[in-house]
Amino acid sequence: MTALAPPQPTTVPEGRAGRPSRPGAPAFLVVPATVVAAGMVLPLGYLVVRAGGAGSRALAVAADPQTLQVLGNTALLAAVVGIGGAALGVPLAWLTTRTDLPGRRVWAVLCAVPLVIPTYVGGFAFVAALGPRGMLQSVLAPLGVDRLPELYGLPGAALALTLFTYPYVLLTVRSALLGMDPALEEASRGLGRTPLQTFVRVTLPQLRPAIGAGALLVVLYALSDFGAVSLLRFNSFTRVIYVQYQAAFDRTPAAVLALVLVALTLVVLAVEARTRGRARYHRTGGGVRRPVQPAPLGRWRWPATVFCAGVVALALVLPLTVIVYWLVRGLAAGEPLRLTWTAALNSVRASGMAAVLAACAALPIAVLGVRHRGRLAAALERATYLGYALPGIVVALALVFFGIRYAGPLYQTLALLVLAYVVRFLPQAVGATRSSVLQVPPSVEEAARSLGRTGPAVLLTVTAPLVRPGVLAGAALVFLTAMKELPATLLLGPAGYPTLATTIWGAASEAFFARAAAPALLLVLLSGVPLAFLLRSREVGGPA
Amino acid sequence: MSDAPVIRARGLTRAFGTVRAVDGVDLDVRGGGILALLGPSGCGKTTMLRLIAGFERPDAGTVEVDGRVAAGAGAWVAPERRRVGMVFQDYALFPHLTVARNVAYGLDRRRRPDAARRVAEVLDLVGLAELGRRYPHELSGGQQQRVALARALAPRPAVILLDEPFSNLDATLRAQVRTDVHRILADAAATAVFVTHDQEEALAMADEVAVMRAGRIAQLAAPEALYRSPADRAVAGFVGEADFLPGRSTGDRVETELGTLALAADRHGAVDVLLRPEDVQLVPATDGDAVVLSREFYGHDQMLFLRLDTGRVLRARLGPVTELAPGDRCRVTVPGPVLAYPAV
Repeated sequence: MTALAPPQPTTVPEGRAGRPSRPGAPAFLVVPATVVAAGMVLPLGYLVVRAGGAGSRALAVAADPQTLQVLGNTALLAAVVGIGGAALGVPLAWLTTRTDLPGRRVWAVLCAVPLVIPTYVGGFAFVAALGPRGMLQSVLAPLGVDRLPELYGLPGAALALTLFTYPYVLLTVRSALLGMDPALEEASRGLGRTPLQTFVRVTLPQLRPAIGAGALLVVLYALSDFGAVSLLRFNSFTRVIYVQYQAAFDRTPAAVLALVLVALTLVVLAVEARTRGRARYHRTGGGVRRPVQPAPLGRWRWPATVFCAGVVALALVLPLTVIVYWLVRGLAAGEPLRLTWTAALNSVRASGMAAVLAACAALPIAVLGVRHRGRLAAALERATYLGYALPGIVVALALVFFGIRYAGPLYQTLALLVLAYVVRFLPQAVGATRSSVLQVPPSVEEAARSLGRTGPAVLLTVTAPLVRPGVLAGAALVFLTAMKELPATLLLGPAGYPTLATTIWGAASEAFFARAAAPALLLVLLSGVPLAFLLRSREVGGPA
Repeated sequence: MSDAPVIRARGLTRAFGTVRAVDGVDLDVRGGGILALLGPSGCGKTTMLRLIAGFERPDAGTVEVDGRVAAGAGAWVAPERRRVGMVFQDYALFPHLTVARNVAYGLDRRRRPDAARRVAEVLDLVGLAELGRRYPHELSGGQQQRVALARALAPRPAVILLDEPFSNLDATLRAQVRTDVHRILADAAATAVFVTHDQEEALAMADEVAVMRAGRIAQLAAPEALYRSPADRAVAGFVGEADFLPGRSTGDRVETELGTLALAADRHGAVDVLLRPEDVQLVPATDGDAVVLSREFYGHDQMLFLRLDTGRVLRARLGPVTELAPGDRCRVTVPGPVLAYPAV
């Protein structure tokens, strides 16, 4: 024994981690957070009241055979797209991280890029290319082909949604593979298992949480998507709700259908939460990782490459080609770009306001949720995550009802549209801000307190400057997602306020493809910005 | 040192769930002194510090700072109004501010010239006068530690609290920084309380050491007194090295395997005698009652592990020179009165 005391773990000082120890949550955080949470819950609450007010008629709508048919359609679409997304995403993730696929880094990026194509842009490209009297048809017509396989309905909607959402699975599984300790796989090989046995018995079980998380995003997307199903004319909930809302004088059925859709979404979330179990057993942290010995593909090299190329051709090259083709044709025919310019300005204005508002609203919620963990903070934080579970058309519908009934002067104004964006996309701002707050050690704030500053002063002079990157990232994310948002913009956009999204949708749904091309290209380019950041941060620390 | 305590805790209690991290503690910290809260991980020492600083609310009991009730008895003073400076284990420097602005953070912004002078003064005190324009990440660990100390000292708090101040430094740096901090606190005539699990640190730095165990103070004493007369067996084992020799005592004498020893205080019945390694004296002797098992050589001294013929293993601290080697026999003697505790 030496004179030094035995070493002891000092990373978690006693009396800090995980204990509800702070003096209660301060009012300067609770009050704004409560206001924000109330704003988030209000529209849905009103929708429930509104549908409930219809009493037995609401039940009749919900139990109508047509409603059940739509429920079946929607569930089928979500299931097909979820399975399809996993079927594309998992092999692509494995090929680009664990094998000697030629050019795997390039494929990794190209296969993720379809994420930047909004589904209504992709849907428009599919209709323009593969639909009746589309580009493929006109090429094949001289060869005597006068009918292509039916695109409209389930096949087209499922294809479009799968091709533009599988990157969610690819990205989550890829980062799980990159974060996984290769020693596990090496241990399995060392114990006499072949590469295939190792993949099935060691790697795949480790990946299950990541696959589940990615597929969940895909399924939620399929449930809430409006653009692709509308353009490809598949009667899932979002399309039917919109048609109901547009056509009928009585809007109660739309409200009831919206609630059934919310219920379906909640069921999906509940099932996922229950089957997830103790997720995240893969190693996610940073730290130094050894490069993995890539598995040789052997004679499967070229089929694997063709698979990657095929996905990229359908999900990326095809839509871009269609857009550029119609852009050139439109310009040649004298299609004015001025309309696109106006629409872009309108989009930027609405999305910018939403981004600023969401960033401001996210800060108290995030600080409260991280620093003052308790029942109240958890409830407020959870309320703001409601937007994740609410399809855009539902939020829009709720705000329409609410606006007409209680906020007449706001109805058909920009304010209501911005509010809808915030309700839908606040979770993104809270998430980004929250992870920044988590990186600020509580001791820094306590140091500021002990130096004589009050809680609000500490928030302004210490916490806010330190979490600025997260706040800005959250705002940027909200801005770019709002730029792409379609259903709420359609329902709530003020009259005579065309945005990029509504311009594309309006033109594409009436087959004025040339008019849709310029705004579509602009949106795709804008959406590429956050993905570039995302891909760059994921590549850091990955194998060379 | 003045007489009125700067910190005065009475019956201080704080529980987390069913665990009483701090359990009815009374503590006085006199002005101008350095007090160490010493204890193993989870003994409640950091919670004690946070109760004084105002980052925890006590479930019971009171804290007074400078004669004013800060917590308890219906009162609550927010941390920013307690005049308690804190140096955190991770230093908690503001990464977005320069060193000078870190130090100025706690000063009155309405009196700018005074603030600038005070910043220069404390930076000079901690020997970083040249580094005011740097950012924290541009400094070494030891320098960051001194900035944290300067920042806490700048507003002239009633007391400075330091949470495991040296645990983030590597061993070679630790001794130097410890000396620096000791000197700075003395120059500033500051009252300080620091938390540590390292008994050597506590003995070297503090005027008084409070040994904490399971949320209570087991003993509060000056370092020498703590080392020479620990209040109980556990404190003796925690502060310094200790071996225990069973014996049977009658008044001021105790019978042990090493013969009859004189007791410092009267005892009766079965006892455990405290033997510090430096109390054990060895004489090489082929007919001795012990054999040397092994030796750890530290340079300035060394530790010999012995086995008595009764089978008991003891440690003896010797100077750097000895003829004894593992395998040699020797005679063991313990001069002077010894301490004994009731046998467990």
